[in-house]
Amino acid sequence: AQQPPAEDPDTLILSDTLHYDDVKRTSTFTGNVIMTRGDLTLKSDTLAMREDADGFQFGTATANKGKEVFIRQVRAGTAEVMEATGLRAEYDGKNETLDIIGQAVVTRLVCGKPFDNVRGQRIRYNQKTDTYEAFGGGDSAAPGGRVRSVAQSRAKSDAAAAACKDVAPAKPAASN
Amino acid sequence: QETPAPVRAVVQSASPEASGGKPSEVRLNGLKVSPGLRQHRNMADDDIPAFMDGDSIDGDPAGEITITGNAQLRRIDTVLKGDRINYNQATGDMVSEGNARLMRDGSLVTGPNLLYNADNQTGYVEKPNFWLGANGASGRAEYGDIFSRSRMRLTDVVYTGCACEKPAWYIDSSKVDLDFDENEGVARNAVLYFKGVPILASPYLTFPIKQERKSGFLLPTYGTTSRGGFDFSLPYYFNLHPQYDMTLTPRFLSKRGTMLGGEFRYLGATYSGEIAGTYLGSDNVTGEKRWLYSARHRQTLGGGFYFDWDLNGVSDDDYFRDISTVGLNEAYTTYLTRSGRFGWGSTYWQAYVEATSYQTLQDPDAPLTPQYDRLPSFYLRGARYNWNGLDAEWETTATRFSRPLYLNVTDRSWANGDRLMSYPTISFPIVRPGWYITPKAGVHMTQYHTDWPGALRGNPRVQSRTLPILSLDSGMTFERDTTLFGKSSIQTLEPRLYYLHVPYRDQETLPIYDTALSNFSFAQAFDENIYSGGWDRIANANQVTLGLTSRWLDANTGFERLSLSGAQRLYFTDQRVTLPGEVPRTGVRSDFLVGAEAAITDTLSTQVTAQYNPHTDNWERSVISARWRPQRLATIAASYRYQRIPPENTPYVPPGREQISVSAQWPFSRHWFGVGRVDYSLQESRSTQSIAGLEYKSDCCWAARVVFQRYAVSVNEANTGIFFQLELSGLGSLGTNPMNLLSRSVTGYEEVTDPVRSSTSFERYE
Amino acid sequence: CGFTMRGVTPLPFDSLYLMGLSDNTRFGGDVARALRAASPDTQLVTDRKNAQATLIAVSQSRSQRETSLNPQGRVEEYELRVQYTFRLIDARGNLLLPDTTFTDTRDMPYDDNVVQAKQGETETLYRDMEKALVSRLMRRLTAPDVAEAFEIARNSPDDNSLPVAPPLPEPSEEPAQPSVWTNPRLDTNPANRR
Repeated sequence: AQQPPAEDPDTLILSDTLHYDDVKRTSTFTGNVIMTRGDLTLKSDTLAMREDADGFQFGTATANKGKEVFIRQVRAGTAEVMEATGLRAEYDGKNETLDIIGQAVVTRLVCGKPFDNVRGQRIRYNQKTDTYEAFGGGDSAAPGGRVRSVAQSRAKSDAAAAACKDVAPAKPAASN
Repeated sequence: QETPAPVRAVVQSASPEASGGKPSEVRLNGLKVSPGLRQHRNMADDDIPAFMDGDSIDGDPAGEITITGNAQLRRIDTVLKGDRINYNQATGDMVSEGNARLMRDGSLVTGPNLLYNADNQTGYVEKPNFWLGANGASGRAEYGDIFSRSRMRLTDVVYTGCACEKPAWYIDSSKVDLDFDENEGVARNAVLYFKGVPILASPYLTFPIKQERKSGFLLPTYGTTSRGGFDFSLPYYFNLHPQYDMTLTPRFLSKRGTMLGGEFRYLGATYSGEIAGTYLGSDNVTGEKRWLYSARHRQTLGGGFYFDWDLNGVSDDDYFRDISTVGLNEAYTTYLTRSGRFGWGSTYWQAYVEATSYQTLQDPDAPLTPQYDRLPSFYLRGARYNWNGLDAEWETTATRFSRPLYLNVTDRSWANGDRLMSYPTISFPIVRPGWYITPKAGVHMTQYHTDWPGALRGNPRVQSRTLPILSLDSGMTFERDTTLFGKSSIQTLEPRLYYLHVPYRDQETLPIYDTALSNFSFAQAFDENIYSGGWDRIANANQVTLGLTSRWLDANTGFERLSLSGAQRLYFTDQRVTLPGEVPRTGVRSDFLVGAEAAITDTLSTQVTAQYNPHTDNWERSVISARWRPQRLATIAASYRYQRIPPENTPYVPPGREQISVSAQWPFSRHWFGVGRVDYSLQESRSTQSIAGLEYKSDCCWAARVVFQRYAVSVNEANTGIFFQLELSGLGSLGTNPMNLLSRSVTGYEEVTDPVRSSTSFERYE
Repeated sequence: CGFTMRGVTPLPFDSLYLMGLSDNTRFGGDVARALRAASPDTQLVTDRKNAQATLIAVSQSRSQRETSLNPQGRVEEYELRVQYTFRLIDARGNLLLPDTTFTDTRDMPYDDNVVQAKQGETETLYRDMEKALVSRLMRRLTAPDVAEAFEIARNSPDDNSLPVAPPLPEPSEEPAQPSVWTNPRLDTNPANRR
């Protein structure tokens, strides 16, 4: 597969096939697509990447019927990992935001154990500010087109984090 | 999170059991919260997860979270709603803006915005409206502070314990502190409004949050009586300590003056008691001090030992005639006991030593010979039942009798002295389904050491009497299937034969301390002695009592619907033992006793007992009563009592009377209830006691009642009284309800206001 | 005319425990004797654990009430009342006989001059009522509907169709209250009517 010019962390994309369109400067990967970019890993069935004039990358990942796009982001310096699933994911390199759209679920794990989660129709995760925004809608993962989130108590997640701090920081799992 | 146990309907109903002809109420309590339903506290407070729900949620995963669009934040113990909720996981603060709603333990607080910290359960809310789960109280305030799980402060508050939309009463106060654990609400410079009219204002007013014991003003009672004048009492209840409480009742009587009443009650693990008293400095009518005291105490010392005392006294004989407790007829009080007792008991033995004396309240127009004081009396009783088939009882007493001088009697004309008595008995009941035989034998031994008065100096000082008492009780039960009122029933035929043999002993010169001729009845017909009390006289007997009872029982439940019974005694010897002045019986056959009890329907029951004298061919005594109770709060009971006027100077026989008594409680409408009672003496064609009351029950937690009452207080004086009472449910109408006269004198009277239902924290769940 | 002597009316269970009815009171002794007569092969056990059913005396009370005054305003008649409530549950707490209250009343003419003698008379009347109560209790216990309830409870072990008995505080076995205290004193003292 081809190595597009990397921003600071280099982006590695594996897939079965690649279709590059020079005029629109887009490349479309299809079939078991795995994109890793620093702490971010994305798996989907198709991934359409394009670059804007200033060199920021934009990507749209979709999954075949019955399957979902899977995204995993290790939060640097903590024992926490964010995992998200949804029907479609849109990555905006300029604003460093990642949108999961359709049956969107984002889960926060502390050393491998799920603690909090947010479910909605569309969830925007902002890598820079490490914040997320979830919106309801017709195809929401939560009942009634609403947004639903579960937050474990502070004490519990701190305790879990402390428990596995002495263990070597978790390596990004190879595959989901 | 464990789900509570499934709710199982607990049905508690007393089947319509025949109760002496008056079927007990069918109390179907309806659905109740099953004791299995409990809030499971298997989670420590700080690791309870929070579930958030909204149109959109944003925030950083571990820190601030904002839910917008009819946001909800739900935890196992709290539910918070609002247009926008900001939840800071680090501090635990939840801020809800825009029609905030907080639900916790069945209570609901709403307001424009609200801050609540779920971890340390504190918070504040502006302009709150609140509904408390504990007792259905509600209200609104300018500002509310939540200090902890159980303490809350409201400023500029309107509070009401009345759970309906337009509450009938409310308290307007500048500051109210609520403490759910202490079950106490304290209102500062509060005004109690009833239907918008201020009826009570006080700088400091406490009231109960839950219905349990609580300090506070009990409900004032207003009234007037002919002997006391206008009567206003305002009891104040001090809930000093879970183990003791006190009620002080300042009371104003227009004719008598202002008096103070008090009652101190205490309860411990092994003891309990109360001390009560009233004091009237100077009675405007008589000019003297009027007071009453009453001290009762009971205590177990372990190892079967116990002691108790019951001391009572009043300032003068007319105390109860002039100053009766509102609504209670105490005028007929004639004796006030003063007794102390120390005792011991085990499974087979009971023993105590007791000293008893009386204050006798004389009525100059109907003088009373006071009872003997017993200073002291020893009592020992052994009893062993089913002792391989035998029933053995042994009762022994030793008593020193002395009657104080009374009225204007100067020298004693009655005997004082000691009596030692011992009466062991043994019986061998043989019980079979169809028949039973109970032979019984006993030896009654008595010894008197008597200090005779002048006139009777001749009687012997020491006398004793020993006589055997033999009896044989036997009965059979026959049955057949039949129908009664259309229902399949079992009819029984139960003949009974009771033979009694007591030899004659000359008892003419024995003193009479506490013995009288007992009233001839079914129970007495099968008893060992025609006299009751301490048996200073034991009648000679060689007699058989024949009884026959027939019952109709419901085949399926065994409920007794109708019973008819008759009894008569046949004498084989003359009566040779009599009380002084008693006319001995002549004739071989006793009066004929007839009795019938019928639960004609589940709501109508009647009872008839009568005593027919075959020699004089007329009815000696008859009581006919009926009770009809179609529904709750509706009951009519009527009774006719007749006692033939005894022939001239035959003491020990009840005086003649013929009296009709009708008592009723009747609902005129959903709100108005009447209650009344009239006892009319046909013999003297005047009413001896009459009560008439009207009660109004509103839909919304208040009731008012006015009761008229008239009763004789002495031979030619009567007391008429009118009482008014306002009852605000939810404000704690605790303490003794002065209107318990109604429940004592109107058979089957029920409180008009339905009991305050105990609310649970499982209500108001959204 | 079709009458036959009453026969044995066996109870559906073979072992019964009496709670709150000590065998050493007159009433308790009579109940035990009547049970043995009515259902000879039902054994009265002394330990609740190996009893198939438990008869609980929920409450027993003797009380009195002034029913009529004479024209001088003095009490001339008392109504004595006995009120006993029983409940029958099987080993698993299923309610075979819900709380059933037996009450009986007797009228007793009263005279202030002979209070102590009348106190003795009340004892006779209370005993007579309690004796009559024993046979009514037997009728109720041996009634067909109780037997049916026992069958339902027995052959539907897990299904809890029968209402559950509301919990009862375990009545302590040894008599905490001296029996003397449970007997109402026949005096017109208003203090004990408060």
